[in-house]
Amino acid sequence: MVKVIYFGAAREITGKAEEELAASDTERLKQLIIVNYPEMRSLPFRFALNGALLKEVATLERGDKIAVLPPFAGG
Amino acid sequence: MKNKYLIAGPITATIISELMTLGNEDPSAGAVAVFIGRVRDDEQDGKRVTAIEYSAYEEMAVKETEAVINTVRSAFSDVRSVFIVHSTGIVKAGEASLFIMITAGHRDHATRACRHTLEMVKERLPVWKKELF
Repeated sequence: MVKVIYFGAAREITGKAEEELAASDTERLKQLIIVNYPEMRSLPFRFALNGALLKEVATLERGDKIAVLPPFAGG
Repeated sequence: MKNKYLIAGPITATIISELMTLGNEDPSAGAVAVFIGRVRDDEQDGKRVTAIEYSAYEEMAVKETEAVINTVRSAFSDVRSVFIVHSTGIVKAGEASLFIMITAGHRDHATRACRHTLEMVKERLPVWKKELF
């Protein structure tokens, strides 16, 4: 299980700040999130693994903290 | 402050004054460039924005802000200091939500580095906003 943390619009769509999900890599996690929350299909998002933005698919280990990041909108 | 870079609520004139005082500490910095971003009262679907609620991935925002500061300091040799502060929580229209200040020996690097910092902040800071009406 990995700890999935939702931010921005992802938090509104899922209705959750965080949850635990079982996925072996970020591609599978993305599929799982879209299956669980179909509205997430229309929201572009990236992942950060343990606080670092991911640029490609990453393997997930038990206890990892993975953040779901919609497009940034600071400023 | 929640940390050096994120602050709960608006960046008030008092806070801006304190930050600018910090920038005065180096007398060799002859140029100070400041950018202040404020919440606009945009109209969306016939409704006027009265405030924005900002949220941030704080752990990552701290790392990214420090990376931006290091990048700017490397890219502009004349830069002496870089200050970046972003709001979280509710900021009303007209209030400041972003403060960037660059001190440098001379105006060219100060102004260019300020613009560069702003663009990197927009691109890299994990911050989100929700308009309130």
